[in-house]
Amino acid sequence: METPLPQQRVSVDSLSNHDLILMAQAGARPDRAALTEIMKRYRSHVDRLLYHLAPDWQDRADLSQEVWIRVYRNIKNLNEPEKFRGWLSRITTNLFYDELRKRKRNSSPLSLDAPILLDGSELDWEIAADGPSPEDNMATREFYEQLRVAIADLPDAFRQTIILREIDGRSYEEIAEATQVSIGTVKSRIARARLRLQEQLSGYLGS
Amino acid sequence: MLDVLDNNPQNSGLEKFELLSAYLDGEVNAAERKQVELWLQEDAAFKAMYNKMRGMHSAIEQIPMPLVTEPINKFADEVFAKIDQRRQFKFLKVVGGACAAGLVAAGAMFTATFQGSNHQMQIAKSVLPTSVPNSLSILVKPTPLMVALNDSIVQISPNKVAAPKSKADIIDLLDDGDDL
Repeated sequence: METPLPQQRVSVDSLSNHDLILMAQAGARPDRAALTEIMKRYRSHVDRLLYHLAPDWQDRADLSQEVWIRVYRNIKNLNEPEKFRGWLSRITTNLFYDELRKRKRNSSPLSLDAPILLDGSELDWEIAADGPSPEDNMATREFYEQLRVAIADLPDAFRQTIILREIDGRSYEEIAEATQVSIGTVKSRIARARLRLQEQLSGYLGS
Repeated sequence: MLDVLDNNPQNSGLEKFELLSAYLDGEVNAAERKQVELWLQEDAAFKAMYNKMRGMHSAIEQIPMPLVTEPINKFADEVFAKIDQRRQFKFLKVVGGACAAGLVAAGAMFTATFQGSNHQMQIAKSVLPTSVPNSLSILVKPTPLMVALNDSIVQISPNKVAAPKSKADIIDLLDDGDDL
């Protein structure tokens, strides 16, 4: 005897990421409830990437919305739902580089004095709650503020490279492809960025 | 900072640091991994550098993010509103484009028709001059060929003229008539 199909719509927040993406892909147009739940789960990842890639851009919230518009338009083309996070990262970084190219002609030097406000939404700092807590000598707000400033102070190419590695977890090959440089250059930029950060934060990192 | 890595004359401090960095990221080959692990065992300064690098690595992973207070539903609504707005704009653009293309096509047809009429009139003017000089008929002498053409080779009885057999033939005739 065949099991009857469930008559009631399953609550999206109880679905796995994989099923959620399948649900979003099912209809003629992406299911908005499913997509809202996907946004809920992955929005912080997008915002985090954009925050570190473009620390001095004041319109990151608009950029974040653009990312999700691209997700809406292209989610049907995603053949492997389990690779959604990487796919989302690529959309985010592609959008960032598109914007960067547009803005380059009007580029201004990076300002460390730029306000931290993000379209009025940035009111407080959220310490990552998941995973192991930082070592004692790192777990201070001052340290993170210095680290944030040090990252923002890196030359653009170095900052983007180290962020794609440390925040997005991309391989050197993937970074080379995204930034259109050789793997050797990626390797060098990551090492130099790390060296610079360690030098600037040597007081916090201990001997 | 790289001074501690400069002990080995075969590798500059930066090269060793790069190799250590790549090792941390799992981006080294077997020989490089073996080399780095050897340095880690033998060189305390190198080991300390590695620990600092690892500490920085986990610190960046856990760097706090600005707390965004906008509820997710509001954010999603804004995204969907933009999608709908752009879809409507695109629809209007397509419709507007089609209308514009239609107008252009209609204008082109009108112009072509108007110019075609003028052309025909010009041809008519050139073929049929307003006045034929009477003297021309005097200049043209009748030839035997012309006489032959004017005379029917085969005598056709008026009763044997073929009538149009089909509707298409009738239309052809009507069309020919329109051309006149």
